[in-house]
Amino acid sequence: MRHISHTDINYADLFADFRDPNSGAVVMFSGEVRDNNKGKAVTHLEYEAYEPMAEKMIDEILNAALEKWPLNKAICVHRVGPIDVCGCAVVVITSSAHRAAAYEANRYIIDRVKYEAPIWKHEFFTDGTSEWGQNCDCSSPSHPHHHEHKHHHAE
Amino acid sequence: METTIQVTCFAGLRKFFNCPLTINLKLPTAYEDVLLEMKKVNPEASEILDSCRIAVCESFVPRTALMTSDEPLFIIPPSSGG
Repeated sequence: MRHISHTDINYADLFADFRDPNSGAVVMFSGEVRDNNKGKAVTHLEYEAYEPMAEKMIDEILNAALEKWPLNKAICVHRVGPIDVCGCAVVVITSSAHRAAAYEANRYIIDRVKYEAPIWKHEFFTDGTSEWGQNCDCSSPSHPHHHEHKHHHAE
Repeated sequence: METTIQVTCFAGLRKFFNCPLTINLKLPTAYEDVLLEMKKVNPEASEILDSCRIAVCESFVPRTALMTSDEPLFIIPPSSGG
């Protein structure tokens, strides 16, 4: 399955594929486009990816999750191109016999994809300005440091 | 002997360079020397270049590792997916 999509993500269809008699828990995370950021009204987002590398890295992240937790299935699909407010930017679905593994693995996958995969968000605001996003904010107390890339911050 | 390296930029980095960019360097040299050359091309890109990673053949390489071939480089700004 491809992890980068140039068309709308139909998470209802993706979720339906996860129903199986051995999965007592199916967890779905959908990253949706908000209408505001940093006090500014957002019109839409555009995502760009270095696609061959993003595909490879998401594959590696999913395989790492499958090794770490007793999952039955795990997928991650990230949209590229323009997305309107309320659109789906990324979906992660995990299934397991019991909920703990599906929840934990789902969080692990989305955190690593956000901070490691070569995918970039371009935000467009109602005032006509735009800005490229940066997820890696090490000054934030909530910054998850289990992601594996090396930081190169200016002194 | 000087070698021409093709460099591809992404996202916010593209506004600083006409990509793909070509950089001439004598090999072997450290990958980070490519970033230094890019800073000479456009000093305004220095701050974002300091936060970028370098990829070759779809894998990240340490900045201090030695570049011994003219394989294309990909300069990866901080991710902002999700």
